[in-house]
Amino acid sequence: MIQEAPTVATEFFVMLSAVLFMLGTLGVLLRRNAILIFMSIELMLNSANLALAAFARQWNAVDGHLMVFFVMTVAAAEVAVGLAIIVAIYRTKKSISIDDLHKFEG
Amino acid sequence: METLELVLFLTVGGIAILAAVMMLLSENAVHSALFLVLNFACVGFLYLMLNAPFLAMVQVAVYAGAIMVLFMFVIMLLGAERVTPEARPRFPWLTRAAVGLTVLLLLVGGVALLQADIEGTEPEAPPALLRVVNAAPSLGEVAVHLGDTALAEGLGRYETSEFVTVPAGSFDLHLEAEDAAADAALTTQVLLAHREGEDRDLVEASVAELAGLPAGTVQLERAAPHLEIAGGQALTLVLAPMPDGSYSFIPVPEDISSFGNDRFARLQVAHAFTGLDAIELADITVPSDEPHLHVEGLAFGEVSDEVVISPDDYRYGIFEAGTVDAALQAAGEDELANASLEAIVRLSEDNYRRDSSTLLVIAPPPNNSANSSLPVVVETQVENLPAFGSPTSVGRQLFTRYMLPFQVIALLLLVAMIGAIVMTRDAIPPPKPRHPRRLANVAGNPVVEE
Repeated sequence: MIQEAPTVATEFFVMLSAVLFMLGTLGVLLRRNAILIFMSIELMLNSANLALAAFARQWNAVDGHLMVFFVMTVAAAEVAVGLAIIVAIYRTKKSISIDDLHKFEG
Repeated sequence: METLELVLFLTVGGIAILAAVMMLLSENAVHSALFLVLNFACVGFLYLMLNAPFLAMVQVAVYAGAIMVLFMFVIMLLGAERVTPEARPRFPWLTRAAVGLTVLLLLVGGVALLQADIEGTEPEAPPALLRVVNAAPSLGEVAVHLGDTALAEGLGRYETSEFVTVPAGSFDLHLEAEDAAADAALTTQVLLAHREGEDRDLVEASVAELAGLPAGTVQLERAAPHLEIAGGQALTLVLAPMPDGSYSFIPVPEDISSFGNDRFARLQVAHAFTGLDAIELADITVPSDEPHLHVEGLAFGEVSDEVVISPDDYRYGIFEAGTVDAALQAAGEDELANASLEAIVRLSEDNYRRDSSTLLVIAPPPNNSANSSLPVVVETQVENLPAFGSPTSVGRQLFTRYMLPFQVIALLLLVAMIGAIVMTRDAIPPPKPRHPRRLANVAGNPVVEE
């Protein structure tokens, strides 16, 4: 029952998580490659997971770990569907640059 | 040790950030994917530092493994390593705006984080686990209520109730007893055994005064004083007769956290028999002049500290205080093995399971017992709780409290799977309808009208 005092403070982990999230956001906003945008989204989900795990340790509640588990599952589902969409778009457009995608109309 | 862990965190965290930056800057999508794998591996390592071994495992296997293989597969399938750069960005100001806004977001987040004082915030106290051991044979079956919660009902003598989860707080403790001895003055009180440091005085919290108890009462119901329960502890209340004929609860705080090592077992002894002055727990593996005493001079109403024993290599016995020296000196090795030593109880391998906590309560003998000085040993075992963040603890939660979300997530994965199939398959042209009459014409046979 007695938990050892954490040696690395929770703030450190949350800060790292925020930095990784910021990098993911930058990737989504700046990159033109649709697959890279997907990878950046994965990076953002992963940084949120890191914060969840850090808070789970802080509050000594395993619920945070389960939430991470669920986020991972959702990420897997999202990647499967997202990559399927990219493959489908590539078939018609022969490109995965998002600049070509706004010409979808018509 | 602390600095080592901090250095480790800074190193791995730095690699994670560096990998993320390199992922963003790489022109080649394959390089980006590999840098992302490195980032995921670093995060997996950080999960280990956060006492989350299960998550670390899943992170590497599912994220860095399965998901990134999927990414790599699609990149190579489409030959989309490089996106041909555009002649002119459509929104030239977007880069600067995006970087500025995200850095601003990070700064705001950092300030909020420093203001929030996460480390200083105390988590809500988890509920406590409580159970009752009936070590008062003269009371017959008892029922114990803590506030509105029934801790035990119909608990026979020398029986142990299951653990009940109660929130932390202060409650009234009620005791109901059947078949009580007519002249037994049933007063219940809570003895608070202080176990901090060396000071283990018994502090009598308060005593419910009883007056005018009719003779021959079958059902007695008396309210005991408050019991303060701190959250997160496992507490066993031992109901025991006092020297003055009244009855008391002796609280035994138990540590039921996991060892993480199944070679050891945890043992605690509670002394609840007034007929014995003091008891000892001794190592009786080999005869020696100075036996190793794990518990020494445990007086009535006292609870020993947790003793970590290794069941494989040693044998132990509980003795009346002062008798163990003479007994061990007199006994030869054979006699030790043949159980001729005058022990209250000899602990064999049956007395403890690995990675579990055992509580031995030295209880008074039944009223009609021939030998009224030989105590009864009530043995309770509890499997230790799984360690925080271990696959066992995550799995337990997953299949109890989080069963419904788990099912929903499973359904979501199924839908995603079907969605991926539907979206990527080629449009198959519908098969031509085949007409029996035209087939007959092709063959050159005359068409027969019916």
